[in-house]
Amino acid sequence: MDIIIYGDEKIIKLISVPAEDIPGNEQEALMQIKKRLFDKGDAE
Amino acid sequence: MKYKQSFYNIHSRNPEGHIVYNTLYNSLVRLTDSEYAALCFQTCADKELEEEFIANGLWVGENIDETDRYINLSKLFRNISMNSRSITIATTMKCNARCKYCYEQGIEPKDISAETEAGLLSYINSLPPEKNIDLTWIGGEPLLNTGVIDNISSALKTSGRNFRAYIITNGSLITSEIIHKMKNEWNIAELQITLDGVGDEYEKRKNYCSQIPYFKKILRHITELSRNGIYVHIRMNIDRDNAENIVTLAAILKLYYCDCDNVFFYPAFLSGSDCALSDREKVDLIGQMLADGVPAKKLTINSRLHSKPKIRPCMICDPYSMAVDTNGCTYNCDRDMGQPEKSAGNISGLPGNTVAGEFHLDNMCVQCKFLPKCFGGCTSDREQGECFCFIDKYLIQAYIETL
Repeated sequence: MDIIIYGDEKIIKLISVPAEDIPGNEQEALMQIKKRLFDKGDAE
Repeated sequence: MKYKQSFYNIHSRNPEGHIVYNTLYNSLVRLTDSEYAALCFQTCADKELEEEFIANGLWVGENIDETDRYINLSKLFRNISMNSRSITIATTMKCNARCKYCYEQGIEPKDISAETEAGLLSYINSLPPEKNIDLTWIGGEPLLNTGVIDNISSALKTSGRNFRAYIITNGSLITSEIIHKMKNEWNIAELQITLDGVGDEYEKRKNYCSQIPYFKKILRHITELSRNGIYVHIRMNIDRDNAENIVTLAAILKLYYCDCDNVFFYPAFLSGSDCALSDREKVDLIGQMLADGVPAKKLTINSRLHSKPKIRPCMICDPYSMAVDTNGCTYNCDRDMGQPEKSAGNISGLPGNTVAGEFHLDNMCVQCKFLPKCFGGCTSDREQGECFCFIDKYLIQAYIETL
């Protein structure tokens, strides 16, 4: 496979990877998003 | 964990292999027949390849509904307060051109009122000082009434407010003096100029009141703007009648501006008439430009390949954006300006936060692989029963077919 453009890691993680696996400073912010979106129903 | 293909993979079978682009994650890859089969049927014996599919979003967890998650995220992010306010202002509804496709036909041709100008300044002054202001000057032809741009820009500078501005113009009235003002007084770093053809075709379609030929002058204006460091976005309006001429225009623009890093030109397909092109014709027309050697970057394809997923289609559902017409009426969509019955309010006495308009994300859009690039498209076109898809899907499809 020739990768011409790499996938956007942040968006891939946001959509598909559990927040606890996301390294670095973004983890907490994404964890909050994940909690609001995926753990306890809708964001709103 | 089991995986499936991302819903947002789009594919083109090209002579040198399979091209797959993901519109949500922006990954772009070339695959052999066997690799493509592995991608499609999850029959991958190569662990490394499998990991690359996952790392680039081409495969996602079997139980993940990407569309559902993406739409939920968009709702979340739409609620996050922005540190800027975006205001589109019509300086005048007068115009020195008479384009047949103009959506402002029938609107009273008048300049912005003194009350509206005062109301705008009062509104901006009511915003917290840390809020940045993004202005878009529009018309009619906005350069027919530069006084209001002078006045508001000067007031914002005097008050120390951070602001930047964009202008949408036909380019005919640009002079060295105007460029100096754009750069030094109006805080304009980017602008849009429309070119609908080459030479006589351009003059015919713009149908300037003065009958003065402007095409060559506008090319010179673009060169001068570029030399002054102002980004120029050239919008090429296209229908069936001028499609071939626009391919020639793109080739000319390539020659003129190939070395200007701040000049771009992109197609905009006109809809709502018998002359509208089909989706396939649009892709083929862009493909022809690329085959003629027009760089993808010049056609703005690169930026669209890398763009973040949209959370709203445009200003219409952005509570921090509004348009203001010459009478001071405010709108959620600049296409509605001059039609008070579609107004959301008036700039006089407007509170700091405006109310976002409604937009409709129908099933066709939810099920479209280009949703992250478009997010429902143009509401105005949709309401008029016209093609409402944004240009991205034609540009990207044409590009991946050339790889």
